[in-house]
Amino acid sequence: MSKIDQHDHNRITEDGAEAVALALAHRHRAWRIVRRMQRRERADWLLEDARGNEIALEVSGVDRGNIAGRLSEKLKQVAKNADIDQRWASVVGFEEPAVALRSNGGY
Amino acid sequence: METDLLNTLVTEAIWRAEELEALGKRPALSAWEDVSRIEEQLAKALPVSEAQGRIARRGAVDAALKAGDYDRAQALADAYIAEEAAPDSLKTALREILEEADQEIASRFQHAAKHHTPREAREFARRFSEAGAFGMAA
Repeated sequence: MSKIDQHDHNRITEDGAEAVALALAHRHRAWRIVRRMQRRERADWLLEDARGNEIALEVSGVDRGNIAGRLSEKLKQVAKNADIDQRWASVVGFEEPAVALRSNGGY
Repeated sequence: METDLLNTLVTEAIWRAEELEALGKRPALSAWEDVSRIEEQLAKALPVSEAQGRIARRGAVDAALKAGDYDRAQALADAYIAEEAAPDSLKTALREILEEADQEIASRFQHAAKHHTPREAREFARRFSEAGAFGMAA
């Protein structure tokens, strides 16, 4: 697979995961998207809940295999965001459809 | 401009810059410059006491570096560090962003880095640029 094909493949997985995770976050938590963040922030998205509390959300997609390992990795990553109190990760699995949305703290 | 609109614009600009990076560093340079300009507008609209204000300030500096505009990154970082209400954590983060960029340049130009730091090299370049061709000869 060429570099650009590999990129496209990864991007499709990531974009698909983001669409599912953001829909899930809105449907089940009523979170609203504020903005996308740059990589340095250790989270992909800044969201807010109905009371205006901010949430940092890191999203990842898994094309094959189960999502548990990736979820643990992403929770560690988002925990490094120093500015936002609520830090969450969501992982979407496509082989056997599954999605997890979890906080790294007590939320 | 309202922050909701700026947030929409920065979201789109970051996505575009990240996509262009797949084609190489050069095609993404102007896209990162767009990101930096929008983050700068957000930083003007949002106080440093708010998390979103700090995210925008770090983002403006980081994106300026990704755009290859070191002078702009330095100027923005200096301005944000000088803000009275800027917390120490933000000042540290901004200095780290600039230091990481310096280290990256030093590792790419190892022989030159033995003689001058990247910051010194940029200062020389700025002085030469301001003095023009005749100033360089003087």
